[in-house]
Amino acid sequence: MWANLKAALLAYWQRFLSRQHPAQAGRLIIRHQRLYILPSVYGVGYGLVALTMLVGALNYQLSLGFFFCFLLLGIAHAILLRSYANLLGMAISAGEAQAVFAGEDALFPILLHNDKTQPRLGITLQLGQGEPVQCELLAGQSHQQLLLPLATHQRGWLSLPRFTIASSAPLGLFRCWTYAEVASQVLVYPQPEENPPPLPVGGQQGDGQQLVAAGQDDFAGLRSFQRGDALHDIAWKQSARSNELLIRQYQSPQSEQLWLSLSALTQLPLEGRLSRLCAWAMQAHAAGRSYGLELGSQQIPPGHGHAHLHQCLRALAEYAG
Amino acid sequence: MVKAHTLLALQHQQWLSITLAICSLPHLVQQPPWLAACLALVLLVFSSLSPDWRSRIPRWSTWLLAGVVATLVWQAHNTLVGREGGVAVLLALAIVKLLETRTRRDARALLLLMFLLTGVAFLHGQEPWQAAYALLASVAIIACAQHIENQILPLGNNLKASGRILLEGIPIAILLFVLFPRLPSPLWAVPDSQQARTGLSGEAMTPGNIANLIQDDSIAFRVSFQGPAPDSAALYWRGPVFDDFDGEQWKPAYAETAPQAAIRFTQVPQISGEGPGIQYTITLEPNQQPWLLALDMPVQIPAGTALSNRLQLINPSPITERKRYTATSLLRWQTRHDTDEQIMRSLTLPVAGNPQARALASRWASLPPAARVQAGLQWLQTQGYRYTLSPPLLQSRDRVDEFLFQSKLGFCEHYASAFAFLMRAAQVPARVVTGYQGGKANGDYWIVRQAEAHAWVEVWLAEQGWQRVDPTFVVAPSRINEGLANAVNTAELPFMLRNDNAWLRLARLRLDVLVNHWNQWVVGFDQQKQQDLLKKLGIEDFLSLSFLAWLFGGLLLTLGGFAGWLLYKHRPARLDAPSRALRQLERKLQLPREPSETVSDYLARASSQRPSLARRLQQIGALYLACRYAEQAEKLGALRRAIAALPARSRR
Repeated sequence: MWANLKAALLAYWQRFLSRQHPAQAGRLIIRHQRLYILPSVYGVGYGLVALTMLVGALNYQLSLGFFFCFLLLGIAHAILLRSYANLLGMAISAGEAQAVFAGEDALFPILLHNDKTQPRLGITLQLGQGEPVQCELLAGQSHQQLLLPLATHQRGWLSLPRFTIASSAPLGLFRCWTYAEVASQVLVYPQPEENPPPLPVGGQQGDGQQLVAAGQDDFAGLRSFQRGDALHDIAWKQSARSNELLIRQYQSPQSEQLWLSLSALTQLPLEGRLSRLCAWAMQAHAAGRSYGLELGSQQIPPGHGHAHLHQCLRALAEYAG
Repeated sequence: MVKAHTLLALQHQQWLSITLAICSLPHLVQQPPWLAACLALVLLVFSSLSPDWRSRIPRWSTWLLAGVVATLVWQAHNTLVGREGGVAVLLALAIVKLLETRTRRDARALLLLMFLLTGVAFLHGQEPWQAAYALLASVAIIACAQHIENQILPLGNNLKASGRILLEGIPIAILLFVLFPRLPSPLWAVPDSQQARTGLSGEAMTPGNIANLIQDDSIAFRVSFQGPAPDSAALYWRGPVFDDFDGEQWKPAYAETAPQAAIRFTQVPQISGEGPGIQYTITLEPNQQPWLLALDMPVQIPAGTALSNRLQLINPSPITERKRYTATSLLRWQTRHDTDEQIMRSLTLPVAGNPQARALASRWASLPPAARVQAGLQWLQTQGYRYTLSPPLLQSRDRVDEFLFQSKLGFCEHYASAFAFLMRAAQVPARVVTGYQGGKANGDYWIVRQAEAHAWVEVWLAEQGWQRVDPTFVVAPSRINEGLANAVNTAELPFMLRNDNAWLRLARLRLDVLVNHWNQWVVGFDQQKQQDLLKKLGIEDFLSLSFLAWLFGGLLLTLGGFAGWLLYKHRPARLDAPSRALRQLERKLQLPREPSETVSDYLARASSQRPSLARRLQQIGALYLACRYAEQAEKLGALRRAIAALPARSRR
């Protein structure tokens, strides 16, 4: 019965949150209807100090004891207003998150905009029970980006869930918070298989058992550095002479077209196959080889380079089966 | 909330140490010097410990130190609770807590302790400077708390913000201070304060102890008369009455033991008199004694007090806080229904001793009683007695004889003592009354100082009852008529009682006017004062509608005013007109602009998403640039119209 009640309450709470804090595209501005404030444990302790003062003042008939007690209340009120104003009117928007592999933390860039002239202090963003990220000082009329980490477990598109924006500035006596759901998605690639078998040989489409190990690669030339290139491929000497970072390119002897095919891998479950293809695509990319991807009806013609890798990984991530 | 377990940096520790030192100071000066020195030393050593050192101190040593400090406090106060002991324990606890402070959570607990220490400091006194110090300490605590939470705040901004927080708290504090219901009595019995008694003694009068008071120019009480003030020579402030003489000391009729004290209030003589009653309000400094002062002779006394059968105004408990009360007195009176027991007791003398004085008095035995009194006074007037602050010490067994017939130099108490002895020896009932005589007008009130302590005699005459006779008056009339400063050598007097009107004395008197207002309206704001004030506001009692209206109306006004002001102050900076127009465009296109995006980039992006609008967007871009940068304000209307004319994006 208790479990039922708890579940019902939780469900009600979730409904309440989605009603009060609907997902919003673009800028979300924190309004007073949706900004909550309660005393922290520290604040309750402060209240107890004021109560002690009141009892003492009543007992010893200390006029200034009364005054000091009420002054403590007045100070608490001033702090409460500051605490509230610290978050009120702040605008939030989400930037584009970099794609990650499943199992890694997706980092959602959250932009905090401060339109007023006063600075805002100690703003904490937290996703569920995750690790909070903090912005110590958001200067007046400025914006700042925080990276909100979210653990990923499976491939595909992942939306930024509702997160908490909280602050206990300036004194920590009160915790002021709100919930925000801003539209942002991150692409999660499949988790690359650990220690995958070597790349399949050229046109052959096998399970990887009968693969011939890739031979000694031949040096084929230099090209300019692109993000995602392996550090050990950088041609440091040549780069030093030119103005840009240069990468050694190799050409494998078996430079026949390498096709990475889902249908060729039959012994593994679907996710396992996608993981292996993911690992292979990265391997092939690192080796500088040209490779194509075949996912059922979808075919990506062979190619190379960073954009090609991303296209392949995206296809793997979005593959519906 | 977050990061409560963060370790504190050395800088935080230093802030905490300095703030704690500020909060401890009013308490340290109240402790015995050796205890204060010990605690100050501990504070000093702790504040110089680096966090590294601190982390190496084992936890048990904190407990050990707490034990040692508790023992020291026990040594000093013989208790760990109550007013003195409790405050000392709190102080020691806060200082030991400083050693244990490692995380932010510890720091917060310490800051709360500091708030408590600052408030508790009012137990030591409620002078204006103590209040000012408490405000200062509060700002220091708030600043320290802000620094602990947000170390990037620059010191100047921090102090400014802390001061403002305090200032914003004051209106609410004043409102609640005025309206919060006061209780007529404490919640539970407060243990007797062990503060030293100063001023007049109610336990005994020995010639010499009032003369010691003359060096004390501290204020005994202030008084304001509701009507015109009587002549200063008539201002006899009645205090303890002494009945029993043992040859050396005068003692009160009843000791302060319960059964005897009860008799004090039986068969109280009736006072009647002619002339208008004089109504006045006294603000008595705490004298730690269970009696009050009243103008001779009180007929209407404040509620909660009682008149003893010796016509002394008695308070149920010793006065440990400044007390304000109103009474009415008559300057001429008769007493009736005096008991025989009382009259007999006022004739009692030691069996032997002072033979010369007894012989002198027996010479007047044949005269009627009133004439015997006159004969006694005449004797003092004509036999070359002199009034002095430094009379020779009387050491013989017959001290009254020694004074009356050898030294002939004395102070009021010598005269009062000797005269009462003479009267009793002459079969006139007589007793000694102590109190204050005179006072100094300062604005609309009078100041009476300890140095104005005085002793006189009361004799009982069959027709009039108890009547005041002041033997000092016949020896040194100027003491009564013109004040103490004119009766003795000025150099013997404390500064505030001299007659040379230095500007400094005047300044101190001016300051006292402020202090008096403070005492009456802040420190003395008790149930009575509150009721009077609330009546003026039309509030009859705390359950009435008008009280609730004042309380909640006031709170709402203050709180609402603050909230409105704060929201106004923290409103977003208003954008200029072209930017506002652009915001309108963003809403219309449902395409927010990235903060880093220039307007041209944004419009290009928008055009690529809505190619059908590309031309219009280009025009809008040109208009925007013209308004914003070429300052062609006349194009603003065109910009707005162009944006308004855009078709709204249909909802997906």
